[in-house]
Amino acid sequence: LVGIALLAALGIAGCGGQSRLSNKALSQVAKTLQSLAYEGDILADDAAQGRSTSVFTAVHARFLWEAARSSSSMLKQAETVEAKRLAQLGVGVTDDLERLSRSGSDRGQQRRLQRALAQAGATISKLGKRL
Amino acid sequence: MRQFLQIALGILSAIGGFVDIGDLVFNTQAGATFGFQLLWVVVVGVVGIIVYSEMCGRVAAVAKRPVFDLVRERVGFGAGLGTLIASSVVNLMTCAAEVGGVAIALQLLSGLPYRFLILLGVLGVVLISWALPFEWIERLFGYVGLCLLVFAVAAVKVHPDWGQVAHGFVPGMHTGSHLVFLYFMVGLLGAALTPYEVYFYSSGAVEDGWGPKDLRINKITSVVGYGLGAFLSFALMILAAVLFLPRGISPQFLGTPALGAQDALGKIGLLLALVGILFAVGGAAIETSFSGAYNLAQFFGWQWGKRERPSGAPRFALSWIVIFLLALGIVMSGYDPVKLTEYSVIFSVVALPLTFLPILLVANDPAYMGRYRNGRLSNVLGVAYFALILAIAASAIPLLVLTNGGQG
Repeated sequence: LVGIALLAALGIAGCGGQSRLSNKALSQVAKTLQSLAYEGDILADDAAQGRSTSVFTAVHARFLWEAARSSSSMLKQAETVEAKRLAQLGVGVTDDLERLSRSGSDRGQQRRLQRALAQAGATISKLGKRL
Repeated sequence: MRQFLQIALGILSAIGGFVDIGDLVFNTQAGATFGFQLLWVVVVGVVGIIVYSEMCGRVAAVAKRPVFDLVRERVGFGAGLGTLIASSVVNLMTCAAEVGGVAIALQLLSGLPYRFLILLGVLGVVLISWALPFEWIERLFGYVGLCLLVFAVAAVKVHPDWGQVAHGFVPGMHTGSHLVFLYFMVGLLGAALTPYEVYFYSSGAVEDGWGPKDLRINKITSVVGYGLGAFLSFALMILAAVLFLPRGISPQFLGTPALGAQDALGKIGLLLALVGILFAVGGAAIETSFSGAYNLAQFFGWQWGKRERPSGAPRFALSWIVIFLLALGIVMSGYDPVKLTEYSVIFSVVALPLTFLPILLVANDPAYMGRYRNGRLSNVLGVAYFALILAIAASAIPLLVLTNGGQG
């Protein structure tokens, strides 16, 4: 029974996402991107202050980058103005997280990325409220 | 003095062994989503695992019967087989999630490739399980898992509003989606009441040859060990509530709790958190594989026991090795361990009633327990928790689907 239920739930979870994004789905993507941007902001801030290891910064930023890339790819077919703006911000967050994962011990770059990610998080948050 | 030391060691290893990947994921997500509002649910869950662990430890000590032996006897072959299949699926999913957690923790520490670290992690836990005696495994993972106490220090360091924290221990109204709130309630209760902990605890008690003289140790270890272990859950939730909720961060990664410890305490906080996570999930991986093997062996009447040499209990030894290999296959195929954890915790809730009912029945049966049968308090709590377990078992999967895994 558990196995059947598991397959059913996994199937349901795997469905959808192929057609045009609904407002609810768009709002969910915005929440995810905001979350990733702010998590990147904390990570970059700690790295810039020498409070993290370069390995943790690189690996965790890479996880965040992969998730941001996956969310951003859902916005490729964006049609509305808000969706296009969100897609643009998503690309920016993805690029910043990718740079953070490669930033090594460059504290200047980490500081710049922290500001950019914090800014992106705030903008996405405002945009998300309008969706 | 010797007994005091034994109790102290048992408590320490119970604290370190309390938190697994399910607790890490659900407590952090719950704090990031609802702040302190779900702290009281952790208390409810911990009291439940204390009640049933004490009961199954007492049954093991007096009747010398582990849980799955009783499942087959009390619910019959058909329902027993259903419970075995359900618990085996859940054990395997949990073991796979823990193995994935080991690889992620190693990756966050070393930067080496994930798939290589999955192989290394599985090889490591298999070798440790094969070579080390039971007590050493328990102590190694329990004691090093105490590094997780760094989360308690971090939770204090981020200066939460203690009035609000105290308010979180009072069940009451909440803000946000009702369904998502219920989903996290079920998840937190499921993470606290995991069946594999009960199977492992009772089989370990039988293996250790517990008798009525050990009932005091059983009671103290259950109450104090799990009780103090709950502080780690509180700490994870408080830390997430302070750091992640205001920014709208929805934790999706095993590294996110470690990021919280890092933000509060710097590099030392990060390293202690990662080592604690590594040993907590590594220990849980071993517990789940052994639980699966215990269940199979006890149900089919095979020779079983970690104390037995593999040649003395070959099917038991083969079972836990096969469980590790299947878990390895699942994680290598690319399933996200955090998502796997969410599913395994929710599905474990469905298997809870058939695990806990036989314990309750036998612990209250004078034919098995004589004068050690349940007292009034144990019965009242046991029945109340069983009713709660039935309610969450019925609602777990609908909530998983309706809330899209807690995302609303």
